[in-house]
Amino acid sequence: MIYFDAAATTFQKPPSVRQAVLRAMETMSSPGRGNYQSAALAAEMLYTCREELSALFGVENPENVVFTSNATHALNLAIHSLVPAGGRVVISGYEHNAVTRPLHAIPNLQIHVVNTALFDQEAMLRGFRDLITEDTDAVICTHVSNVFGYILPIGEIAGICRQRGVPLIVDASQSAGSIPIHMGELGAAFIAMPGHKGLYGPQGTGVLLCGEEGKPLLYGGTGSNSREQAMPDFLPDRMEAGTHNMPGIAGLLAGVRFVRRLGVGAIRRHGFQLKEQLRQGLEGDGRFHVYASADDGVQAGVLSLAPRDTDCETLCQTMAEAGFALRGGFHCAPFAHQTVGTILSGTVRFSVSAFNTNEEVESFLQALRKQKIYK
Amino acid sequence: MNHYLIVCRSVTQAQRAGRLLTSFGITNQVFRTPVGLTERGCSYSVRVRSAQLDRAMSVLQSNHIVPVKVAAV
Repeated sequence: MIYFDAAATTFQKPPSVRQAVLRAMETMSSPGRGNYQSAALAAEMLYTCREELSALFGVENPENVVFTSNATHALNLAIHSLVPAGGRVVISGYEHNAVTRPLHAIPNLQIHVVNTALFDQEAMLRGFRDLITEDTDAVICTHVSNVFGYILPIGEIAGICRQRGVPLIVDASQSAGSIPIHMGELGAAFIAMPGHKGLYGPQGTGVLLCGEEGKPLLYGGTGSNSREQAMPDFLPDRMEAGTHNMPGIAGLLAGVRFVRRLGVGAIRRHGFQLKEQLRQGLEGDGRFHVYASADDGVQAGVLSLAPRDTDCETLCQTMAEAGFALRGGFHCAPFAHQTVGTILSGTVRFSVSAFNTNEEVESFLQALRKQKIYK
Repeated sequence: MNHYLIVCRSVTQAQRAGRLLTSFGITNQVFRTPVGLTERGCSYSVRVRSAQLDRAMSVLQSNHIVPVKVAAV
């Protein structure tokens, strides 16, 4: 099988990730719960992972790196921390349900959506300028659309937030490890990311980078202040109740080291180049509507296409039988499909990782050309 | 009393302090704080030699690390 669903999970991992998971299971117990060898090894690895993530994302203090079970968990923590009932938020029209469903659950919340055309960064900036007011509780914005690969102008949006004193939550689910993002430069309140996509860690890992203290969602043991019933008032303990996913985080550490070794810039160029190969290969193929831009500043290694004469899930099934893994449907992002006009049809999404090759893309294009697509 | 314990609020803060001190050439060890030294419950400490305490505290202060307390052991 040739795997083009890295936007969901990077399926191919560096061998070092698998080895690290196994080693953690063999040698590590609970961090911060003792000074015997297995606990000390666990604590050492956990802190090293915080340090590596800090270095990759420009976080000054490793204590501000919080481990979560995925990006959804991290986003829930950030939203719970900043958005009150009856509050006001501004979001982009490209958000995932991991953002919009937690917002939907908050009573009497005013949600203002910046609905602007695909790949038009200027229009999006105008929209944010118009909607961010000083009484906005938070701006929540994805860095890259998980459906269309659209790179939102997050640096400029962060600048507007800083000017107006409004906290920013960034969903870096599709950019962490694939496109440079820097906590210090953005001055964000929180950046949420999964461990299992562009950071090449195992599923069940996620990270929240904190520019603010935040509020816990889970309450329980932290290995600190144990005589007190209130959760600790400091990071990371405040947001990390219970035993950590040690095998997962050990694998994440190996994944982060892999990313740092390759370099995020090189990974970005690779993803863009593969996406460009596909875009050019689909040019003139009237069977599909292709959502793509040749500008590397506005689209990452994710591309959606909509077959004109068949259902997107049917095409995905056909291609799966031909040996290609793609994601069809709505990608848990109805806002993005609504914004672009694909809310009824859905799309077929192609997304790549550092492990995909030009030969794989060519093979996919050849297989696609052979498909007879009927209504 | 040859050593001092720099009591930290968490294992993470103690690790941060320990690595920072190491990078400044200050020998240290991170381990669990004796129960008698903690009012709030479990925590971790960084142990340094008495002769290096002042320098250690200066390094921590300049990096905005505020210990819970310092105790001679």
